[in-house]
Amino acid sequence: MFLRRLMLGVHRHSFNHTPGPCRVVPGIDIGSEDITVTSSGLAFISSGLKYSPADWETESERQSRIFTFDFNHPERNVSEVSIKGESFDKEGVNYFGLSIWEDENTGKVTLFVVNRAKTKSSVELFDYGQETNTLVHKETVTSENIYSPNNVVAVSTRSFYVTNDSKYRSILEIFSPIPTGTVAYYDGKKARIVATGFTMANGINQSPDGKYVYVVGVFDGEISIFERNKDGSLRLLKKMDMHTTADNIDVDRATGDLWLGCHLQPYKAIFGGEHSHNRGTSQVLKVTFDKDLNADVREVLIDDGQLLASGSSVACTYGQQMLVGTVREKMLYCQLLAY
Amino acid sequence: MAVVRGMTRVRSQSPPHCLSLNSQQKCFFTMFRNILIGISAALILQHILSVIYSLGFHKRAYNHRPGSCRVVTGIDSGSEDIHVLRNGLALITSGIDLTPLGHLMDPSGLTWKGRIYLFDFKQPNANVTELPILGSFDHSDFRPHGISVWEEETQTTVFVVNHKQHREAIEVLSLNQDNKSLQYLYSITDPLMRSVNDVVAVGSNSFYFTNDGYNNQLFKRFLERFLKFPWGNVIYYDGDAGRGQVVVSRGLEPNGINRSPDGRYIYVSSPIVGTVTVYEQQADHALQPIQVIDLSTSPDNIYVDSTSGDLWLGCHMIGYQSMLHFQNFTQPAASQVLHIQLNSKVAPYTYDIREAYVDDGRQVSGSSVAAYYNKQLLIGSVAHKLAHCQVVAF
Repeated sequence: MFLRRLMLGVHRHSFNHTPGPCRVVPGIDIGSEDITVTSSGLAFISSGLKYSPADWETESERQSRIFTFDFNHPERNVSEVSIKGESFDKEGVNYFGLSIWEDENTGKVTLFVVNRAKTKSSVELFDYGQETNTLVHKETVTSENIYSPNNVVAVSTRSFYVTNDSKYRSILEIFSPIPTGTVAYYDGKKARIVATGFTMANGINQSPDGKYVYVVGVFDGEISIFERNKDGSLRLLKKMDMHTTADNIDVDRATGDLWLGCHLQPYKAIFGGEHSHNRGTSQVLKVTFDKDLNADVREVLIDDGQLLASGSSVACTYGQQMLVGTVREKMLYCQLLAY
Repeated sequence: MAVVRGMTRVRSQSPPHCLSLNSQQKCFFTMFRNILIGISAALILQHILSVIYSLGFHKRAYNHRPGSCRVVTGIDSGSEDIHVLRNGLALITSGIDLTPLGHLMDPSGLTWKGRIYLFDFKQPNANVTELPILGSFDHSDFRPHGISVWEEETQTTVFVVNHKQHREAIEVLSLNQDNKSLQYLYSITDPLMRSVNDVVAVGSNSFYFTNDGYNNQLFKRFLERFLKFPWGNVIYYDGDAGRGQVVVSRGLEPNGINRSPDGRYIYVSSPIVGTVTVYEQQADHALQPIQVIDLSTSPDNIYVDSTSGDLWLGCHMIGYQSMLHFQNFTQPAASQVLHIQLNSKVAPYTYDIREAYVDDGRQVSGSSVAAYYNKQLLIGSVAHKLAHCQVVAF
């Protein structure tokens, strides 16, 4: 495992294929790191992620924003949402992972946003106003156990799981034999660590019935499947080797399938020049489970830079449509005809 | 005391090591020999590592399909090569013998009976039927491999590579489309037929074929492959003259061979090298190499779409899996189909490679050919089943 992490995908090779016609969505140029979609087909997209000190030096060119894309009208492309609320500190915002909670009774949509701001990290809770395409800030959650948040999954109106990808925010942690990524659970009052041992814990999501939580350690190349206990703690059921570098997890709420945005050759993103044509190969995998949690894996898309210059970080589906996002580049829209 | 003094005296008189002319020569020789041993060891190690790398332990097959796919029932002993006629009838060879190619074979395959099957692309939900071979044909000595067809108004001539028990041959048959049978005409043998793999007809009485190696006995051939001796070649056979001529004299296991729709170019695959080479046919039927397309996988047979000129390749994605599969047919081996879209009419081509199909071996193991017709794919395997797919997107 340690040796395989060292290789960063140098040994991997791929041929392009797409599940149907694909096009780059205009309006997104500096990232679409995470995408999440409501049951009615409205997708939220975080953009303008800043990860390294070099990113912060160009902060004015990498403004963090949140966009919406309506799967019911894909030709309209994206709209930027307005963010309102006196309680929200807009200084140095930096949006990472997103998650949606839809109240079954009121239909209210709450958006949970990981914010790795310049001076502190938090999970922000917003209420979404559809008529005005506005996010109204409700709450800022900070904790000593939310120290390097990457992605979040909401499990109730005010509670969530969040991944801490590393401890010191150093790329060298990838090569540490002691994995430092963790998962924290916030119960509405306080956060505690509920899972450890990931190499750069990233994507996190839950099954539609809320029974399972799925976590990806990017450089583990594995999906960890946890069973949720009543008190929010997690019991590890299974680790599934994906043989690639998986990033974010989307869960199809109709089928329970997992959709993974993957970096097939992460060495290109890490060592490649800022302006090279191919800075990573995008890969989208779909994972279908049987009742015993055995996986059937399909490779839905491979693109070596023809469509997306850097590797994919997320794939979000709605019906026969898919959005593929990247950490710091454009976003792709595809029809799902065959894969 | 005297003894000690004597020993000291002897040592002091001895010259230091390697200073004398004789010792210096010995030293140089020893050093040279050590360097030579080191270089040899490095070369041997590099060779072994390259063999291990080509076996594909680092590869992973993620399943994907260009549309809905199904196994075509009726074929269980391989579907190594496919040729599609203009009207959508596909001829499929089945029942190959792998031992002349240096592969240990599952014992159940040793007693296979060779067959040629028919699949109609215009009835995509139907299965295959066997084409009976009429005439004085020895059915007990039929282990077919590559296949090619030359269509003329008066006769549809079928050329089939046959690994007979004691010699290589290319059987010449005539297809009777009315009663769906093959009429045996004659066998072609030639001293240049060493280990024939595939054939492509360029006339009613002439063809090119690949010899994938020089030896056709199990152990000798295994050694030839392991040591990477490039003793395969491509032969042009002139039926009127009754003899073959070497047109590509050296190759590392050339396998699939086919031609562009206008007949100008001949394509030859090399699974071990992982390339398809484009040759231009000269007036005297010699082949001039024009282009090498690098694939990073193991292409087997080449299918040319007669409409677009594009290439479809059945590939062995993971080499060691295919080898294990040949030894035990229940072991799955990854299948892969590549599509090479040619974006120019004249070679050297600009091209776009896409991956149309991958299976981890549970549907089809060890794909060797992919025949495309009217948004459909027929995927054949060396020693396993046949799959039919709709081509919607890839």
